[in-house]
Amino acid sequence: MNDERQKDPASLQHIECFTAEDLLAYKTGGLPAKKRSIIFHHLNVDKCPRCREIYYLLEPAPQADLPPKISEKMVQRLKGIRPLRRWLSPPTSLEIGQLWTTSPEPKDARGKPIASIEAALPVVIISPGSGEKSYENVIRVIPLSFDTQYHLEGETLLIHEESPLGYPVLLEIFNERPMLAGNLDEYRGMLEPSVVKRVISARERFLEGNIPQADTSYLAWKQKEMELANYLSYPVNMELFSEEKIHNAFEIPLRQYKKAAEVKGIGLDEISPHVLLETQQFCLAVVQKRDQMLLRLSYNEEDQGTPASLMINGETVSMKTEAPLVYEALLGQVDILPTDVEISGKILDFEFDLFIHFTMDQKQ
Amino acid sequence: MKAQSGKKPDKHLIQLIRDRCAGVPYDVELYVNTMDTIIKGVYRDLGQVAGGFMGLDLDTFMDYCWSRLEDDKLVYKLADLSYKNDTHFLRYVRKVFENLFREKVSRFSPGFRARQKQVDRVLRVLCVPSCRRFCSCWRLKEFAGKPCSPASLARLSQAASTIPIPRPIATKGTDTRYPPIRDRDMARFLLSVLRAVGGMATHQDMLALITTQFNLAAIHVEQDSEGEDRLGAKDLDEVILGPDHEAMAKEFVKGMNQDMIDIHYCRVAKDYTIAQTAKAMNKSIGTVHNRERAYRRYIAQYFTRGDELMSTEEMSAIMTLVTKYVIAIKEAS
Repeated sequence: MNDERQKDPASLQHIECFTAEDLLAYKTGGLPAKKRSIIFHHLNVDKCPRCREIYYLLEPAPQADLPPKISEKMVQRLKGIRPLRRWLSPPTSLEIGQLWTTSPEPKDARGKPIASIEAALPVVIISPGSGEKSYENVIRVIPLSFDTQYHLEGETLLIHEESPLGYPVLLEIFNERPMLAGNLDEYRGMLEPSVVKRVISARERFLEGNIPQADTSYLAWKQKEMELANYLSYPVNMELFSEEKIHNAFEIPLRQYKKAAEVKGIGLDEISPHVLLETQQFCLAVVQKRDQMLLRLSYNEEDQGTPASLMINGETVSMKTEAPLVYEALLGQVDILPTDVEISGKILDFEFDLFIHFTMDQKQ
Repeated sequence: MKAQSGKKPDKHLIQLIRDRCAGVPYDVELYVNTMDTIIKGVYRDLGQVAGGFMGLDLDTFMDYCWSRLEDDKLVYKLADLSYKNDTHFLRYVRKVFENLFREKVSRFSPGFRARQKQVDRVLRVLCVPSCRRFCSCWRLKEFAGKPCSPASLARLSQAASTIPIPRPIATKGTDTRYPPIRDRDMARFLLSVLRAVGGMATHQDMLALITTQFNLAAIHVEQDSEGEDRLGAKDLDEVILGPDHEAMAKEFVKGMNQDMIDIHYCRVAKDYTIAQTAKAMNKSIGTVHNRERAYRRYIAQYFTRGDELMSTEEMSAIMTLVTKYVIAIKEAS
């Protein structure tokens, strides 16, 4: 079944692929050495199935006599139809459930361009921060994908008819990440409240660590999706990992929680994650689970075990296995948690020193 | 009322597509013309052979692309990605149409595609490279001096009818719908056909001939994941090299002296140890060591000349070609 899974023709996964023109130039020879080497690598080391297949379909041909006239019938048809109206005035403030395109030239907190990519993907806002579309506001978003055949319950959420974009989309719950709100581009619509509920619920299930079984083709696709969305977090990570210590500080709001006597099991809405570090291999987050504040380490693919070292407020702490690929340590009970917590340590080759300031969530 | 972001000179087409999807007035002719031009360009590069006689003519392909764009809302997806500028946008759209072409031809028989690759592989060695590049025909090297005058398909078919087609290899578990044929058997067949028609034929006619001779058009496998997998895995093992690599390998061999050829033949092609090489070359072990060191220096110099920075994989692929040429030299001597 998985072998029949197709990527969408417009999938961003083809961003690094070459056009038939490039491949034809490789096939016929005479390319500059650098470009030839890049295409060689893509075809033979990355073994891109798309480009390999296109390569074999290519035939060097003299300029063919193709009809010069444009499709008049298409012009007539388009002039005759009433297009789907998607013009939307930008909202006054950012809200959860809004869909936006993103800038292919992300800027840092000072509005200075720091990267440039060929094409940028749309996202749905899951945490709007202060609600301002500014470079100072750090929001959390879930990237959208057109590759609906890669839907995996527990990791992604498929939206069909309810999609405000007019076509089905896949919400990459696994790929949630922080970004600067100023790097949003154009507003594209709002998810229905019922869909927003489904997103929140899917996200909470995912954050609980219930990782579904996935095949290698899905994992390869997922890995690529994560790489493709990295540009969204560059500006946030730049701030986080800059040399000045102050930039490694986080302010995390504490949520009010239900007393154990009031409810039986733990509700999905009682789990709030806040990502501290995110790399290709792992994610380190602070998670409020009702009355507990936890430090959670989750590996993306390969289990690398507990951190080489981990200190919380100067004391060595060990993490416990919570689920496959997931480790946790208790930071404390919400009611008696110190206002400031310092976390330092080393995960894989990554050394960190983080300061967390807990505040009471004023919105509640 | 226009869509939200300001129009920049290098984002004219991006804005056009966004306006089209925002439901505001836009230049319909420009939109259709831009897409038509890209679709035709893709068909020109990919459709000549693959589509030419397998039922995918230009009109069908254009209708398919427009149907996917407008009816399946592909254009909205294009409008919901953001691009740095129009150049990147056009490049992206071209790749999308190439993917649509790929979608269409994936329904062709796997046997056709496997055979197409084999013809390409086999004739590349036997034919004049420049003809392949400039006039899209296969011309045998022995006919290089003759004027380019490819035979008609009818003549090719007539010639082929008198030549026995290569017999497939009978292997256990082989799917009878697309049995493998040895490259050397296919080469012998194609060489005989080409010689019989005056040494040259167009790529398209040659593939049309293969399709009828091997009854490939009749085999139409839409979803055969097992077969696709088997072929796919084999495909992935094949290293795809361009003529530049072949030229480099030839240049490399041209720069080798006899000692280097002997060392390469024994140590790489035959995988001999130093001692075995010394015995084969009738030299002392020390001499073999010294010659091998000299050869390594030559390799290092060749691959680090100028600004050319090559990956280990690319060097290794070129050295595989070098081995092939060295074996040919040794076997000819």
